[in-house]
Amino acid sequence: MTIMPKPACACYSDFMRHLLLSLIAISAAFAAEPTTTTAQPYPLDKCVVSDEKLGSMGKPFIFKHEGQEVRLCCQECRKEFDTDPKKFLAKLASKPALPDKPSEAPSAPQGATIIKVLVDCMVCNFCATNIHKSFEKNPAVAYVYVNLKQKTILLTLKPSASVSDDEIRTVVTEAGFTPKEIKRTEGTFEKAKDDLKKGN
Amino acid sequence: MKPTTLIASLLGALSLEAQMVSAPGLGFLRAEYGDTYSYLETGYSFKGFRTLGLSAYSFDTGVGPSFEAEVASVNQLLKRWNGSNDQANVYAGIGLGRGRCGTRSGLAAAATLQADWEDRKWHIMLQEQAIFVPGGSRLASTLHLGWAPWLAEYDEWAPWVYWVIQHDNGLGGGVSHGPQLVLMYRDVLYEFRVMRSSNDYHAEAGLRLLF
Repeated sequence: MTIMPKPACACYSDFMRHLLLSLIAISAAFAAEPTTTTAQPYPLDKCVVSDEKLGSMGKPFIFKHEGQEVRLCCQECRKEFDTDPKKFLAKLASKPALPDKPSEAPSAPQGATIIKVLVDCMVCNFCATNIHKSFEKNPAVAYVYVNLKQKTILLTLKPSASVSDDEIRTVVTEAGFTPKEIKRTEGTFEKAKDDLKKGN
Repeated sequence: MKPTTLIASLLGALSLEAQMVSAPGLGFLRAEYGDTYSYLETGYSFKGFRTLGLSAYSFDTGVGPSFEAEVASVNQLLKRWNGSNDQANVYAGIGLGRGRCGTRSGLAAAATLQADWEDRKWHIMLQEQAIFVPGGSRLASTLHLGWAPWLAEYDEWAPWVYWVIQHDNGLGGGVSHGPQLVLMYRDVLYEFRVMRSSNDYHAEAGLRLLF
């Protein structure tokens, strides 16, 4: 067997070859490290300025300050925060960190509400990626796990966050799939994952 | 390569060669490189399964003039059937841009129609594609027949073995076919194939990223 290279234009061809090799290297890094954190996650379920429960004043006002995610009950509290950021950041420093971004981190919270979503027609990795990333973008979701064999998505939520069944159905439908069943149970995310892998 | 070609390549997209995928809210990057063609595409899928992007494409069988195009495109998922364990899709795409064939250059136009069906074990995809540039055109029909030797999970390497058959009515002409290995891991897909045409072989490699 002989392979006969016949590039249309040597520079174009070389460019594409080098580009592809670079992309393969970059994508390998993506594959090895699927999730990243860009800021310290906000550890409280209440506004660090007013102590009001997040969500009680409508959608929380979220921003980053010197690498720290900050969640306030409303935009008005930002003014007070800006008068003395160090004072408020000190309140956060003493609290254990909760995840900034949904992931499949092994240290998922204990005793959380686990949401199991059964989805039809989720047949390949890109289907799973599509749904996984769609839920990752939901600010209420702490962790996502997708199991293709069981056609199931596991979700757990951030403290004080809530997601209705209708919202979950919308996410799945907008990603192009058919939600079949949504179940909520109490337990640990890791156990729910293991059970799913075992086919339970 | 002209600076505009380089910029278009880097900006990147239309499904000229590779399979169309629509993942609303996600961006994607595709690159393929072979002895006879190279291809780069990047884009973003919006709600409603409409994908916008840019692509750069180069094709040369060694028979007749070379062929290059940079195209801005829109792809649309026309219909999806969701079964319990399978899925079928029909996509269409059109694009406009600049192209060159030999020494001539000017407006380029492209159109693609694709139908596919897959379950976790089998995948069939048929794609009809037309690209027009001044002085030449390429009309290609491509059939992908895929089989998964085992069923991998989302966080495992998922292998697929394909047989690809392509009939090209345009530049270079003729039928080519050959095996293709696809490896998927989470949001990355690698593909390698060797295509046999009437008188020689062509090796091609590619990747796709969802982000």
